[in-house]
Amino acid sequence: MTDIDLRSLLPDGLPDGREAVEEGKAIGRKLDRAPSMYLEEKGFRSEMQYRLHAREQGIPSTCMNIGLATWAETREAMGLIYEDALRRGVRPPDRFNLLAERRMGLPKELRASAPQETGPALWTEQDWWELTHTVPMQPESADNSIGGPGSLDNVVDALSVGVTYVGTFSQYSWRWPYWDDEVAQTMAFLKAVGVLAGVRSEGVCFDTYLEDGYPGVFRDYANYVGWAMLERFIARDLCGAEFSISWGGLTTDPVTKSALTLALNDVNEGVPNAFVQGDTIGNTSDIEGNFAVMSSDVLFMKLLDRKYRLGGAPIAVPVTETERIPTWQEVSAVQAVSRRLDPYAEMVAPTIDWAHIEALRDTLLAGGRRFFENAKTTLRAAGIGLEDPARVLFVLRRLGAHACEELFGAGDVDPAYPGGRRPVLETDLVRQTMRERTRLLANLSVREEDPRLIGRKVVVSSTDVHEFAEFLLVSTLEAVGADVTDFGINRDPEDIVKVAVETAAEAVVVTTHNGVARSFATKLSDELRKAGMAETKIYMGGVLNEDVDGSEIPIDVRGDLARIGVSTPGGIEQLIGEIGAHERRAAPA
Amino acid sequence: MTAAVLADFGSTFTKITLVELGSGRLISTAQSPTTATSDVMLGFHAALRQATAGLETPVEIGPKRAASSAAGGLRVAAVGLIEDLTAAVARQAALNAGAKVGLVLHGNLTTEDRQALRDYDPEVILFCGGTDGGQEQRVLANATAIADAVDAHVIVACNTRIAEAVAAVLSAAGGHVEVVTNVMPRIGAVDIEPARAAISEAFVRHVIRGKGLTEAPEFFRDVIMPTPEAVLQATRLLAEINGGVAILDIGGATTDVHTVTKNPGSGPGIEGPLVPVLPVLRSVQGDLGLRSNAISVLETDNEWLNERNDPGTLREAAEMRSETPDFTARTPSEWQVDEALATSCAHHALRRHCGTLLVTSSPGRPARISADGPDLRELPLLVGTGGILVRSPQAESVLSEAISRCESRSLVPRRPRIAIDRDYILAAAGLLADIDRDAAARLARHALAGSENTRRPLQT
Repeated sequence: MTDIDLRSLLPDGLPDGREAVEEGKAIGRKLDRAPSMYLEEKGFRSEMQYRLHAREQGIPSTCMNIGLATWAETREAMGLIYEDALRRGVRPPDRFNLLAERRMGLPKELRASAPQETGPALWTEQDWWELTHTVPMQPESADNSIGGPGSLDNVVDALSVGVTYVGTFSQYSWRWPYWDDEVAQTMAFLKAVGVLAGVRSEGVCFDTYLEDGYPGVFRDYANYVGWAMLERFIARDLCGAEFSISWGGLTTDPVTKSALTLALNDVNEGVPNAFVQGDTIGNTSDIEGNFAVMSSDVLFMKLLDRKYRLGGAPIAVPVTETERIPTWQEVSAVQAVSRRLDPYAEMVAPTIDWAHIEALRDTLLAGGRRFFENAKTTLRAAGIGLEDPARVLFVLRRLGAHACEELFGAGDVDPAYPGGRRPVLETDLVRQTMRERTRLLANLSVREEDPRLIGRKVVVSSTDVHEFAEFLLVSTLEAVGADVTDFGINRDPEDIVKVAVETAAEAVVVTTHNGVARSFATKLSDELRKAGMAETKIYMGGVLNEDVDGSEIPIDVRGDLARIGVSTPGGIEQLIGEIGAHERRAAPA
Repeated sequence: MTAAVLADFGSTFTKITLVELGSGRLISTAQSPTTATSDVMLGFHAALRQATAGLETPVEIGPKRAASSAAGGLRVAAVGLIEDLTAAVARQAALNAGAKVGLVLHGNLTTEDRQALRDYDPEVILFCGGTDGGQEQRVLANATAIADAVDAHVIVACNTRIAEAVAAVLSAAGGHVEVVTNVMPRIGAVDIEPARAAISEAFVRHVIRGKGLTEAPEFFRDVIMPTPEAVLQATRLLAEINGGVAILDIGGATTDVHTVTKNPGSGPGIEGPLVPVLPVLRSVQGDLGLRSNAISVLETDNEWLNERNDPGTLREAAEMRSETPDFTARTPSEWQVDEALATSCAHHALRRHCGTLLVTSSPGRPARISADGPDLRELPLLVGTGGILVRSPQAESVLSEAISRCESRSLVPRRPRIAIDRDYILAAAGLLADIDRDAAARLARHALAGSENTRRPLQT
């Protein structure tokens, strides 16, 4: 196992996270909490307790996501959806995740002065009250709730009005505009978790949504499971809060999804997980066709739930979600479809042979345990320890998703694979990238060959960890006959120039997603000029913005890039066209 | 009994090792001052007489192999394009061939570079630059810049597409030029073996003939490599047996480190250097030696040495050693100084040879973990050699201490078995491998088995 001293990643004077947790517990124990309309109707003190009852009784639960432009619109939509379900003769959704505006992640006193973005924000006690007392559907305070510097404010408000699943652990890795103080964010996060720990005995749960955090970019599903174990360890063992593992939006294969859902259920020792997000990557622009994606996805989750009594709540994804923000009618429609699938699930569940899925579950659990043990071993050996949640959280945040997967990964070390490990079970996102590559190559193969691209010397790299984009660029350019140097990810301008000199590159293609487009391009251009390579053309793609002092939102810098002489084609196919059209030097530099 | 005669023509002593063919059993060793100014074979025969005198069972002299570092060894200048790409690879290829690489040129070569080449007067130039199909114009310009600067054997290992054109430029002024495979055919790929073999061959066929060491044809027939390459061959042998090894050769002027490991990379999550780390590596610390560089060692490791020894006495001892290359320690206090200096040499040489783990972070971006050299933490065996170290009663402790001083970021071997080449035969084993690889392996294994095994974990 790798032995690295990671203490340098910790800031000086990081307070002890255990004290923050204790402060939170004290707040939690004194909190006045009112029951929500839903829980009053059901006659339970917490949503978890209801779920335990419901699964025993074979009563399926459902969930939806909702977050329109404002709270007023969202509230109205909640009512309309509820009524619409009744009109359709189906049970309304049991619960919903409030997709709150990003400002909600900030401390209350800073929200008003931050620029407004799209989404509902809860400003007043009345707003919070309405969250749980408009219709008998149980809310989860999910997006921009716990994770950011406003964590403590949000958890107190949410619990006070009867919310009992509060998220989202995974959003601790997020950044919020107007906030650079990672220490304060960590402490606010831990106090909020402490509050939840303080009311744990009342059935309150701390939720995560794996894909909002690091697993959303993992290559291996076994590492999803391991990461869930790690979050659970922090939330439950270090902080004392009950934990819930929600997940699912980036998986389209129902067999994989079933196995992983079972694995995560095992990880959480049967505590009902708040929700399973529906498939968000299987949809296309064929709206009617997307009903097949949604139905298959939800049906499998219902079959699973029926067989294993998980007490879960699948989310049916509106069929228009890839095209635009769904209307309340579209949300309601798929919720109705979800309910209509219940009798089919009941019919079919007993006939399915689950052995294959169970075997896959076991493989994922074994891999997850390896990841978890690797993480613990590394953190111990790195001088971080496993006692203070602030130290653990901070280092994981600083390492980032890719480093965590590569360092702790469950797969065997194999340099032939991206990240240096052979996945136990490759994620659907990786498979999708490979399919996109196949599509791109197929499109190119029917085009007329462009002789201007043959042998064109191109260096391809990424400024950050986004390897899929870099991989697609390399594959495509190689397919059209360019002489490609794959210089990989996390590259500095100076090193790109060194490679450009040795390879006599005619073009340098850089993909970037980490808010450095302008500064990187400026440095790259300067270094190329200093090295006598001014004629080497730079192409940039990805997210072409820059984090700038004085602006809390990264600014679009495509205009600046054009002024430097950097081309920013809209896509890979456009890039190929531009490279081909660029006049070639008479002789290499 | 037939004996292989394995000779090392060193800068100061000529050493003979007799090994029984087949069994690999060490018969005897002897040494005599190297007679470079008259005829090196005089010293050879003197040593051979000593080695065969007094043997209980007479031996029949069988095949001979020799290494040489007499008259300055092998002087190579490495030329590349980018300092930490083709120039770095060229340098490593030359080091792995057992050369002294006193000059590395890179960039667009200038008249100053040409003068530096003249001043250094290398025996071999390794000329590199450009990936295959890559840079041409600048590489050709570099060839033109140094075309007739010196009369040296030139090995061209550059962009394959222009290698013949480069060779034509470099040979236009006369002199022997040969073309081998590009040392860096593409970014991320390194292939130094053809260049390394060509350098070694050039040494044997041309360089040693130019040193005026002897007229005896048997010398030129039997010398097959520079001395450091013999140690590297022994390193490869031991690595095959043990799964990886580091050999630390602490000499009077320099400390060489030879390592062979299957997986020098650090594994997932850790970025490697720009040029892939090679599984076979030699490094030479030209400022760390127990005699002519004793003062330099003192200055390099001043604090540690002065904490453990009286500074005044130590300084005096170091000055004496630097002026007396053939000084031999006899008293306990003399040994103490040698052992202290050897610990410093070993510590710094290993630290420099192996990589270091660096963790860097900047606000808002994930941390980067990188290693700037080979990751040798799992290497199972560390062997000490060198004329002074092998005679020290505390040699194992010297190496143990050298490792335990390394900080946790250093990628030095953590828990190796430590062995000492007490019979000082590793170079001989490397030569014997050319005759009988199995016998050489047995010789090497046996030689190390006799030394005390010490396993002291790295303190973190």
